Amino acid sequence: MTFAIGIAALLLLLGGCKHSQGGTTTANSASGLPTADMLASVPLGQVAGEPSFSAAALSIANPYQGNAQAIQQGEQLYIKMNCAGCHAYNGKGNMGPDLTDAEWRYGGLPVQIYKTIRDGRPQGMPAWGVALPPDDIWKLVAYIQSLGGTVSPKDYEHARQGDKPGEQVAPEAQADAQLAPPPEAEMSPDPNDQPTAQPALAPTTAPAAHTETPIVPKRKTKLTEPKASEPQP
Amino acid sequence: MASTSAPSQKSSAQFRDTTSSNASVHGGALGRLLKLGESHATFEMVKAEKTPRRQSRRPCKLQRCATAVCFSLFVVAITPPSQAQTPAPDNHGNSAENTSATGATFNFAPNDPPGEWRSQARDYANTRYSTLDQINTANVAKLRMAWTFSDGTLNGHESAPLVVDNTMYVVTPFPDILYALDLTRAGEPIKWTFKPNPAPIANGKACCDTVTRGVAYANGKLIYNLLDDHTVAVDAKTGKEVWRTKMGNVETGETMTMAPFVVGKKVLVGDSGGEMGVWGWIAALDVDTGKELWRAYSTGSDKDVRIGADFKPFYDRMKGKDLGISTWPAGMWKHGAGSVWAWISYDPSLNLIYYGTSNPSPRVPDQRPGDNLWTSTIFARDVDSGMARWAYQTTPHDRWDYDAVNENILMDLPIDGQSRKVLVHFDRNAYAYTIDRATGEVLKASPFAYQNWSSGFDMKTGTPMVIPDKEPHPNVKLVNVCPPDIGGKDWQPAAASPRTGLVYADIFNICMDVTDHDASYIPSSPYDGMDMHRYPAPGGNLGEFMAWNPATGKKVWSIKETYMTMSGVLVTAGDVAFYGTADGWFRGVDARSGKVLWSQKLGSGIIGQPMTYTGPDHRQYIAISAGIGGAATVRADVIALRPLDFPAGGNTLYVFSIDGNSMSSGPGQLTEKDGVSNAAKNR
Amino acid sequence: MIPCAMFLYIHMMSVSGLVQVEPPMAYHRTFGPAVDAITRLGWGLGIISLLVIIIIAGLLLGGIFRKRGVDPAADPRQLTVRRDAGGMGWIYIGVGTSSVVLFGCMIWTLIVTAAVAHPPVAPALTVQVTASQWWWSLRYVDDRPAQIFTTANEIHIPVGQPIRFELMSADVMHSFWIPQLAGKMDVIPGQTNVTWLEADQPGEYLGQCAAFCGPQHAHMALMIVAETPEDFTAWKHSQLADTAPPNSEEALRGAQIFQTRCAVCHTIRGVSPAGVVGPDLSHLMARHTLAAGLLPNTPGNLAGWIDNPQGLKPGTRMPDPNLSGTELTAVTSYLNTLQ
Repeated sequence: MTFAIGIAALLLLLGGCKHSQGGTTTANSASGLPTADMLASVPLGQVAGEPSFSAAALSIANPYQGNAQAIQQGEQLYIKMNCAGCHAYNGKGNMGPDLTDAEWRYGGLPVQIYKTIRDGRPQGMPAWGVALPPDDIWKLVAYIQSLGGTVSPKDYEHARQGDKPGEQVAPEAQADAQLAPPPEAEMSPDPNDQPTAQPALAPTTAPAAHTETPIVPKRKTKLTEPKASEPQP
Repeated sequence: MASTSAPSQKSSAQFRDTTSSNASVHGGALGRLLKLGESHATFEMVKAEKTPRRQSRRPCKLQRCATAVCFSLFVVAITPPSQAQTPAPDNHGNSAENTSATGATFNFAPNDPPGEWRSQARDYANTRYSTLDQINTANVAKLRMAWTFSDGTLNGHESAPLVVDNTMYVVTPFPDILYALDLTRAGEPIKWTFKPNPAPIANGKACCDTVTRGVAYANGKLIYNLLDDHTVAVDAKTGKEVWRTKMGNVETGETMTMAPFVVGKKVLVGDSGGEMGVWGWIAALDVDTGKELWRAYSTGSDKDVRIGADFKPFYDRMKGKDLGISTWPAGMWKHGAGSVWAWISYDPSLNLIYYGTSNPSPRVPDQRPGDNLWTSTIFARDVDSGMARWAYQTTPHDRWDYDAVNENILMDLPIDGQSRKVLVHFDRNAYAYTIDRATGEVLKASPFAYQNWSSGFDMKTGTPMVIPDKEPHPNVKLVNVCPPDIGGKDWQPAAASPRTGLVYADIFNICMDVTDHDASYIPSSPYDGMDMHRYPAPGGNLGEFMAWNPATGKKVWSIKETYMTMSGVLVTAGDVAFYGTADGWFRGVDARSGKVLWSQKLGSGIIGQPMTYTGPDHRQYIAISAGIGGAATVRADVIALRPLDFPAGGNTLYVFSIDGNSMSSGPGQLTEKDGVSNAAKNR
Repeated sequence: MIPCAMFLYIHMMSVSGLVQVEPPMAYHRTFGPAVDAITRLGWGLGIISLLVIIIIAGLLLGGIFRKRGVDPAADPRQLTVRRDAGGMGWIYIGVGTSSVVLFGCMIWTLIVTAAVAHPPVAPALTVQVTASQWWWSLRYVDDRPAQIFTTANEIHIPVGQPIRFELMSADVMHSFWIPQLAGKMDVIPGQTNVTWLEADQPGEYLGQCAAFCGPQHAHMALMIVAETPEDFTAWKHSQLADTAPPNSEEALRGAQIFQTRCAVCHTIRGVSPAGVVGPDLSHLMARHTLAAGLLPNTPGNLAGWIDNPQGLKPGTRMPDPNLSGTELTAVTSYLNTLQ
C-alpha cells in the first residue's frame, strides 16, 4: 500500500516537471524564434507594387508574448541595457519616444519593434543586434508588449492602414481589403513545440472564400473567415 | 533722533539717502538755525529763572518772531517724515525712486547699445538688466501683442532672440535653423535663413529636449552651437556660414545645447551630456576663425583640467594633486561628465570667467564613491589661458543630480560694511550662494527653495551637511527627497537690477521619490540609473517667482505659481520684471513691490528667456518665445485644483509693445514695403 | 548526527589513504580563527555523540538480553512481588549525566559562537560581495576612492588578518560559504549581511553557494586565495593597473569585437567602464577558473566557454554569442592579453 502510494507520488512529481506554463526561456539556436530570412522580408515602409508578400511577414508573432518569465527578463534587460535611460523607467519616454502609447514612428507590431531594436533608427536609437542575441531582443519586445501600446500581430494589416478595431468600413473602402488575402497560420508562440515547417508566405489560392467582415476587435470575437488555427495570445 | 530710515538700510558710500540731510543736526544752514533756536529757548528759560523781576519784561517783537520761526523749524526737524523713503520688505505701496535694498553695483561691460540685445545674458556680468524704461510700472499693464513670428519648429524654445542693428536673430530648436528678421520693414520679413542640417542622430542623445539656449553676436557674426557638437559662425548680414568647428562626437552621446559666450576675441563653448557618461569640458575658440585655443576638462589629471601653479581654491577639500582622478574609483573619471551646458560670466577687472559643471556620471552615487571632482563645481578661470584660478564644489559626491551650471551673476555688494566683489549663484541644490569671486570664499549660503537633503551649511569648511536618510542606494525606493534632480532652480537664468539691488529668479517647489539602478556604460546610450517620480513640495505649487536679497541671503517677496516657472527673467529700468510659466502665462511684475501688474496668456508654455529692444520706430518692445518642452515636464495632475494636461507644443515668438502698436498692424493694406517711415502713421 | 558521521568518515578515509585527494571543501579541518573553534566544537560534539550512541546502545542491548530471573514453576495465580531493581536509579543517573553533559555542550557552543561572531580586531579590508545567478561580483572597498576596484569570483586576501565581507544579492537568495575558512552566511536580496573570516596560512580555499538559487546553483563556486601581505599588495596593484593595449593585430581585432559584442555586459577597466550585467573581466588571465569555478582558466577552456556557454552551463545568463571561428580566435587572443 505504501509502496503504491510512493510510486504514484513519484509519477505525479515527474509528470509535473514536464510542463511549465511559460516554458524555458533559453531558446537555443532558432527553435521557436523567427528566422533571419523571415525577418529580412519585413520592410520598413510600404513595398512598392503588390503588398501582399510583405503583409504576412508583418504578422510574425513574438514567441515570448505573454510569457511571464520572458517579460520579467525583458524588463531586466530594459533596465540594464539603458533602455530606461532614454524611454524612462515607466516607458513613458524622455529622450526616446513613449512606448506605452499607440503612437509608433516605425511601427508597433512585434516584428517591427524587434527590427527597430535590432537595427536602430536614424534619430538616435542605437542598433542592438550586434550586442544582443535574438532571444534577448524578443524578450525585450515581450516586455514592451506588456506595456500595452503595441499592435497585435493579428491586426497587422489594419495597423498599416490606420484602422482601429470596431470601426465601420464604408462600402467603397471594403474593396481594398480584398486585395490582400488572409495570411497562413502564424508561428507557434511556444518555443517548446517542435519547430514548425516554414510557414507559407505565399498567398493562398482561395481569396473568394474571403467574405468581407467588419474589422475584428482584438481578442474578443472570432474571425468569420476560416483559419487553420487560432493562435493563443 | 531726527532720522528714520527703513529697516533694511545699509550704510555705504553709494547709498543715496534723502534723509541724510535730515539725520544730522550738525551740518548745514538749517543746523545752525536749529542750534540757534535751541540756545534761544534755553536762554529764555534761564532768563526766566534767574531774574524773576524781568519776567514781566516781554521780549521784543523781532525776538519773538525769530523764536517762533526757529522753534517751528526745530519741531519740523524732529518730526518723522510722513513719506516712506524706501519700500519696506512687505510694502506694496508706492516705491520711491532709485533706492537700492542692497547697494549692489554692476559692471555692464561690454556696454552694448541699450536698444539692442547682443548676447543672451545681456552683459559679461549676466545681469539681464535693460536700461530701457519706456515701458515701466505705470504703463506695463497696457502691453499688447505687437507682432509674432512662428519659427516652424516644435520642441522646447529656450533661447531669447538677439537684436543687432535693427535685425532680429531667432534660432530654433533642432534642426537649429537661424532666421534674420528685418525690423525696419512692416511684418518683420525674413531677411535670410540659415539651415545648418545637424545630424538627426542628435535627437536621441539630448537628455532634456533638443533645445538650444541661444546665439551670441560678435564681430558681425552670429555664433551658436548645433545639437550635434558643431559650433558655427554665420555672417550677420548675408546669412552665410563663416566657419564651423567640430567639437565632439555626437555618437557617444555628447551634444551641445548652451549659448556661446563671447569675451573679446574668444568665444567660449561647452558640451552637454551629464546623463550620457561624456567627458565634460569648456573650450575657447577664436571668434574670427573658429580655431580652438584651449580646452579644459572637468575630470581627469590637473593637466586635463588646466590646473596649475595659479590654482588657489579657498577650501581644503579642493586642495591636492590630480583630484580629478583620485576622487573617483579606478577609471571612472573618464566618463564622469561634469559637462558645461549653461551660463558663463566674465569679470574684466580680474580677467576671470565663471561657470559651473554638471553632475557626475552615472547618476548612481554608490557606483562612484569619492567627492567626484570636478563635477558640480563652480570654476573661475583666466579667460586667456584657461587656467583655473579657484574652484568650489557646491555638492560634493552629488547623489541627486545637482549640477552647478546655473548662472553666476557678478556684482559688487556691500557686506558688513565692506564692498565685496561677489558672484550670486542659485544652485540646483536649493542653496543660494554669495561667493567672493576673487577667492572662491562662500560669504552666504542659504536655501532659497524647499529642501530636505541637507541639515545645514558648514561655513568653516564650505560644505553642506548631508542627511544620511536622504542618500539613495540601488534598488531601494527613497521617498520624498527635495529638491528633485532639476533642483530648486535649473538653468533658467535670473536677472539683477541695480535700481532695486535685488536678484529675480524663477524657482521650483518640487520633490521626488527616487530609486537607483546600477548603470552600465554603453556608449551611445545613457549612463544614468535614476528612476524618479516628481511632485509638488509642501504648499502644492510647482513654481515660484521671487526677489532675493543677496546681501542678507533672504527672499524679499515671491509670487507662487501653480505650474512650473522655468523661464528666464528680464528686469528693466522701468522697474518691471518679466517672467513666464509652464502653462503659458507671461507676466510683468513691479520689481520693488512684487505686485503683478500685467499678464498675458500665450499659445504654449514658456521656458524661453525674455528680452527687450528698441525698434527702428523708437518703441520699446518686449519679446518672449512660447514653446513648451525642455525639462519642464512635471505636471500638475497631483494637484486637486484642476487636472491639466501638459500644454501642447508651440513655436511662436511674441513681441509686445504698449497698446500693441507697431509697424506691422494698422489700417490699410500694409505690406513688407512699409517700413519705418510708416511707423509714425500708427497710433 | 549524519554530518558528524560524515566528518569522521571523510577524515578517516583521507587519513587512511583510501582517498587520494582530500575533497576541497571538506570542513573537518579548517584554517582560520573564524571557524577553528567551530571545528573543534564539531569534533567534540561528534565524539560525545558517539559515546552517547555507544553507551545507549550498550544499555539497550543490555536491557534486551538481561536475565529476568522468572521462576517457570511459579503459580500463575499467585501475585508476583516485584522487588525494587533500582530502575529509578538508572533514570536519575541517566538524566543527571545527560543534563550535565548537554549543559556543558550548550555552554561550549555558546562560547564558541560568541567567540567567532566578531573578528578579534577591526578588519582592515572590506570586500563587498554581490551574488548574482550564478557568479560573484567582488568590490574591494577603500577610503581612497581611486583604490576601489571590482573583480569576480576569485577573492584574494592577505593571511593573518580578519577580512570583512558585506554580502548583497542582485536577484535571489544565495549563501556565502567557504567551508575551510568560514561558516555559511546567507545572502538575502534587499539587505546587507556582514561576515568575516581570516586565513592562517596561504592557499586556495574553495567555496560554494550554499542556498539553492536556480538551475546552476551547483556551478556557483567561489575561491579565496590567501596570500602573504606582500603578494596581496602586488596583486592589488596589478588589478588597479591599466590594461596594456593589445599587442597584435589579431588582439586588436578581438578588442574591437569585444567592444561591440561583449562590452554591453562586461567591463574591462581602463578600456572603458562598460556593462555591469556580467562579471568584470579586467585582468581575466590572473584568475584560476572561469565561469565561477566551472572550468580551469586555460585558453582552450576560455574559447570553449565563449563559444558555447549555454552548452557548458545551461541557463546561464550569458547568451551564445554566435561568433565565427576567426572572431572567436581574435577575441580569445585579446582576452589572453588581460594579465
